[in-house]
This record gives sequence, structure tokens and C-alpha cells, in this order.
Amino acid sequence: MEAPDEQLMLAYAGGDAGAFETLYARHKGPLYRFVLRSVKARGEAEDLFQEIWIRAIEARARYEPKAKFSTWLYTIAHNRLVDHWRTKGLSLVSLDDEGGAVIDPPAGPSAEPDRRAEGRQTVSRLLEAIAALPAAQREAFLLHEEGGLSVAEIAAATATPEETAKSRLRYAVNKLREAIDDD
Amino acid sequence: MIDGDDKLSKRYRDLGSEEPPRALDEAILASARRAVAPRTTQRWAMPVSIAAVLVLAAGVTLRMQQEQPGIETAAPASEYSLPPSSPEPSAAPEKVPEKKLQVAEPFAPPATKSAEVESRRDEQPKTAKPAAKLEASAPMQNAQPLESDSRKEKKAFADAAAPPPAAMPAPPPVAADALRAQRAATQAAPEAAPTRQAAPAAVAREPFAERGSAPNPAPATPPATALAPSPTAGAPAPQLRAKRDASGAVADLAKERSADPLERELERIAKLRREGRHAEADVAIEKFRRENPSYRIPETMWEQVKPR
Repeated sequence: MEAPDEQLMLAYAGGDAGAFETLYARHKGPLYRFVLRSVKARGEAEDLFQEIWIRAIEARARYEPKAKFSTWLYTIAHNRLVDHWRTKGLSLVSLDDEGGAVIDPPAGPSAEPDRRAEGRQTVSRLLEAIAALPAAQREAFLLHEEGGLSVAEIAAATATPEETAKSRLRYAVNKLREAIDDD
Repeated sequence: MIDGDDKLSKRYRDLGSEEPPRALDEAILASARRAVAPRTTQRWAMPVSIAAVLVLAAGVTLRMQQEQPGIETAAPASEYSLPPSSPEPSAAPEKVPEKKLQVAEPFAPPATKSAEVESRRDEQPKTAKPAAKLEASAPMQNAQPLESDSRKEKKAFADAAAPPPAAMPAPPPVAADALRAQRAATQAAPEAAPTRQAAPAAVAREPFAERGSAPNPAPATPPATALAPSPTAGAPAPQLRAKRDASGAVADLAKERSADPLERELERIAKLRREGRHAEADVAIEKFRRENPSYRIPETMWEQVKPR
């Protein structure tokens, strides 16, 4: 039986570097894609991804297993992304604004030349729809899909009321569903 | 959770599962390992810090000895008194000013720098030792001036509250003499021609005159000698050095004394009254009021010291 994330994080805080490797292996892919599809450039995404993990490493002594480890990790990711948006001139209000936080299509498989032709028809439409979402709705969707967070956990990670998190996720799903139903 | 998102989730999974580059993985994992790895420097931190503190302390002590010889020994000598069985109980107070005079007024011509340093180091025990002897030589009946200031103050308050005792041991007038000497020195300093020599000499004697507490009413070190212009006007360097030495010792001794010498002076005058020495007390209170016109004497104290 695999050790739960929370136990691994506590073990790492106690000095067990191996526990962190297991945690990292579990969460690196989802977190990486969460960041990658939240920003427009792969280089930016890699920098942010690394900074999020470094913050988690530095905060290990303060970690308390009050909630799921993934909620704690994506809270760190959310805060780092908010900082990132601020440096881009986007306020927290505009993150929720329908028209204010649309970014360029994020880097994904379609950005790689060798896969661009192959995935263009099936993938680009959904990717463009995700990129067209307001940042707060996109974040809620990615937290749900990549992080596996529930509405309550999304609310906790983004420090918003549960109803707000729920409505953001619902708006995002409806828009994306419309986008793929058009295929 | 969200109705109809199964299909959307499936389509989203089809987007691909990108992973971070391997180099990024290694960098993050290395950071994680470094964060919890025991630091080898911590093993040496404690011994190194202790050694650094010791070196620093030794350096500061050495520096203090070079800058102000006697400062580290003069203060403890005044703090602690030797056992009363110390030899030469009566001769010490008379010797002290002489040795201090040697320090304050060196007649030897200026020597080379290294010789000066050596001579200063030689002088150090000379100046510190008599101070210790001074404390030790004070017999029990003369122990009153050596009491700590807090005890003095307590006693003064007790004296103020209680009626004066019928008979009291004769108080040593040395403290007042010293105070007068100090004031005379400060007043006469601008007038004296070679002020550089006069001031240090007066300052050098003052602590010993005060602490000497000799029962002899005639002061062993009259202020006049301190104020007399020294014939060694052509040797300013040793004079300055002596001044620095003496002022260092005086600074320490002055710290030991209470913060308000005016109160002590008033206590002294009150004591003169209690002993029936009204003429001296009248002169002293007149002088006190002349020198400290803005000082408001407390009512209880005024009752004890007012002219009669």
C-alpha cells in the first residue's frame, strides 16, 4: 500500500529526501500541465513550476496535514500564478473578468513543430477554448482536471467562497463543452 | 460534480500528458535533497564561534590595556577591599599620593615610544596596588566613607527621620575636602598658567583623597599643591599620558559614586550640624547655595542644613 501524500510530506519535513522524490513523481506531471496551460510560454511555465516546488520545499517545516497535500500544493501554485499575473499587469479582479484575462493560447503539444500538424484538428480547438477562458475560470478547470480538486478544495486553494469556485468551474465547463460540441 | 464533464475530461486527457524536462526534475530534486541534508558547516559552527569570541575578547582587553592602562585594575580595586589583616594599614594612605604624583608629574625627560609603553605598564601595578591597600588599610571606624552609595543614602534617610544620636564617631572630612579640591581645580583651571599640568594633577589626586578617608583632619594632599604650576612645562607628552591615565581611573571611581554629588554634599553638611560643627556647616551651606543657586533643597534636608 502506498503511503499517502500527507505522510510523505511529513516524512520529508523530518529529513527524508526519498519521501519527497515519491511525492514529486506523483504530482510533477499534473502540476506541470496546470502551469503550462495557465501561461503562454513554456519557458515561463518551467520557471514557475520550479519556483512552486522550491516554495513547497522551503515551507516544509510549516506544513500541517489539515487538508490534502494536493490542495496545499496547488494553493502554493495559485499564489505564485497570482504573483505572475500581477507582474503582467492583471489584477485579481480581472482574473475573474470575462473580457480582461484572456491570454494568448498557452504552450502545448501544438506548439511543438513535430506534433503541430498531427494534433491541429483535434487538439487546437480545445486548447484555444481553454486559453480563451478568463483566468479564474481556466484556473478552476485546470485545478479540477489536473489537480483532481473538488469544488471545495478549489475554493480553499484559491481562497474564494465555495459558490464562487463552483460558478467559475461551471462556466468554464459549459464554454469548453460548447467548443468541443461544435466539432 | 459537474454534469456532463465526463466527455470534456476525456477530450482534455487527449491533449497529451506533458512532463517537465528531466533537467528540471533533477534541479528540483537536488534542491529538495540539499534542503534536508545535514550541513557539515554546522558541526564547526560552535567551536569556530567560541574561538572567534575568545580572540575578540582578548583583542579588546589588549587594546584597553594599551589605551588606558589601569582602567581594568583600578575599578576592581575600588570595588573590593582586602582583608583587614593586610600589612601597612596606616602607611598606605600617605604613600598613595606620592605614587600618584609620580604618575601624574613625571620629571623624567620624554623617552622613546617603546620605553613609554613599558614604563606605563610598570606604572600600572603601582597605581592599582595603593588603591587596593587604601581600601584594605581603612580601619573599621573609618569604613563609613567606603560604604556603597546606596547604603549611604539609606543611612542619610534614616538620619533624617530619626533624631540625631547623642554621640557619633567623628566623620572624616576628607570627602568634603576632596570635593572642594575638585571644585577648586575646576575653577582655577582656566586661571592657572600651564593648565595642562594643573588639571591632571588635581584629577589624579582626587579619587585617592576621597577614598583615602584618612581620619586626619588635615588633608594629606592639599589642593594647593595640585594647583601649583608644574615646572615640567616642557614635557607635555608624559603629562598628557598621565592625564589620560588619571582621568580613566577617575572616570571609574566617579561611576561608583552616586549620581548626585549635591545630595551627598548636603548630607555632609547635615552631618556637620548633627555633630555641632555649626560654623563649618554655615560656611558649607552658604557655599553650596552660592554654587548651586538653581538647586532646590528638599524641605526635610533644609531643616537639617539651614544656617543657624
